[in-house]
Amino acid sequence: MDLEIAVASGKGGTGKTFITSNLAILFDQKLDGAVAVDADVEAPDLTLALGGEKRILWEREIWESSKASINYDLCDGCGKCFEVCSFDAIIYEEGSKPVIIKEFCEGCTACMRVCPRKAIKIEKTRTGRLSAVETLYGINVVTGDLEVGGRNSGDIVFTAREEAKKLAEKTRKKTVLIDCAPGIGCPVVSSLTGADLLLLVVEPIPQSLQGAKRILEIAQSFKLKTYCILNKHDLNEEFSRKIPDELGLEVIGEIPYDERVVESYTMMKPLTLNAHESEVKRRLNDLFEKLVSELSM
Amino acid sequence: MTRVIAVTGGKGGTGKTFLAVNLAYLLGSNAKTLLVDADVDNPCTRTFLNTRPVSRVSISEFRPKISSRKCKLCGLCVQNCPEHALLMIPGRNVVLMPQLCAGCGVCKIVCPFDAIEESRVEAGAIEHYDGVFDGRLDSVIGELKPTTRRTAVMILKTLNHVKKKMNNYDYVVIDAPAGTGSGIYAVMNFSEVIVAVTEPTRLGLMDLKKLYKLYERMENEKKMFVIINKHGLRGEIFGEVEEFLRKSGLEWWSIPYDKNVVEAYVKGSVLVKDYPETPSAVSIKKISEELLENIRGD
Repeated sequence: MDLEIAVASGKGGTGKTFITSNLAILFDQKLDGAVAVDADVEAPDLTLALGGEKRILWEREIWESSKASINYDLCDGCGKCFEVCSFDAIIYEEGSKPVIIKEFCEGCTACMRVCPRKAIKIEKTRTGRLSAVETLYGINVVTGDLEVGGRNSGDIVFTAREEAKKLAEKTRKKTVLIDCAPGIGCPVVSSLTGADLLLLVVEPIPQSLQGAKRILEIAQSFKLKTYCILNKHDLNEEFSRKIPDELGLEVIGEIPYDERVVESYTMMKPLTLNAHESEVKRRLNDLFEKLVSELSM
Repeated sequence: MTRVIAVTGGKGGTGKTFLAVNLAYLLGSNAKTLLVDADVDNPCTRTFLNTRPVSRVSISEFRPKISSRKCKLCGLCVQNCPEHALLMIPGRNVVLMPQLCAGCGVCKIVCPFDAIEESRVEAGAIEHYDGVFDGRLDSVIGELKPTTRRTAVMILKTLNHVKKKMNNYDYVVIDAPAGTGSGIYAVMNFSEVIVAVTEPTRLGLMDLKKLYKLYERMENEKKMFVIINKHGLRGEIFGEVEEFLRKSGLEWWSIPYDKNVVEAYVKGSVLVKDYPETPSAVSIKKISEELLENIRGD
């Protein structure tokens, strides 16, 4: 494995999965191929965008999350646990006993350590599921699927990336493509940490520009090389023209709006595999060629 | 009594902010309404408010400050850090990698030599706005600072701010983030009505199903409604979404796909205010009336 490329945007629905799935196909057709990672662990759809699963290579449950629990026979309601919890995961009123909201508990152990009655235990809980599948058109995808209401999404993203690298070595693919979650939180930071390149997908609306700027702050703190992709650029040409300067980034691809994109999801066939020639397909190809030449692969 | 309505949806970019802003605007015409942006990773409602906040409350989190004078290099903090954010340089000192630190404070608790002091860094902020959209609404916006990453904690802090002032309002409309994790759980737990905005695509449906699983797991009784946005997109799977909604017994509406929405978005204008005759604005007005009708009876 030579190169790990993250596709992120800050805002949701800008076309991260669209770009990742089509690049994966192009890497497969024209270079040594790629393994894809679905790091949008709260709402993973990359497998679907790549045609659905043909074959499950492996799957396993991840039990890496820890949660505190209180033994009420021992607890005397002193409230020390409440005072040290940094995550607002403990509800407490004087005169009653504290309650842990397990969805918010980080399992950090602070409460357990300060409890004078040793009434708090830390238990392992299910973080989610990790799987590797071969999708219909031959692309292998490693997916992290977080338990609903879950947290510790960073752990599952890191593990998914590690597994994707192993799979890439094994199948002699040189590239790993990471389809990031929306936002700038834990799963996104874990997707960008140590990656080689960031493709920032931006659409010409202020909400997307704001999201892109926020991601860029993270990328710059890692000194991560970043290119911008203008998606649906023709929805507002004037706004699109402002984006590269606003971000201070080079544009590596411009993709026009096309309802065929939705259609490609319905057909579960990446657009670039469509026999019908279209502007979007051509632009995806240009993006791929430019990426390859920039990286001199 | 204050009614709290959360707007979420599973997939990103389905139109949550679009719906929340327009719904709050309509509610604000007749009732005291608070619009809350709980999508702290990228709070987009701000792009619609052309005004400055009346107050900004900074939210900080713990960072350890290690006193090299008191530290005896015992290594307990390094061993017990749940995020592996502390590194021991043998014979020299303990170093913090700030981007990994979650601010839990375990290092300070376990240090036997009292060598760790508390310092605080900004993790985000909560802004309060009064009388936005010509005095129609007030607003609260939670924002996570890029490079810190405790999304759910910031959402909880935002909701705590809302809790303190919500009794002054008839309606609280919360623009929630995408996804199905603990952040959404926090918002859903706080609300009594959940409006899930989806789109008639396979990806939209897949994520809606996962969100529905989370909804089914909620302990307190809530009401969930679904809005299928962008109806009429070429190649849509409207029938499949309808089928799922019928099976799960959820009430729903649809909003037609409308290019005016993008135009309104770019200008930062509110569709029902500035483009009231467009098909999507008409449909949102109808939905908002029916939604109110539906929750008023409860």
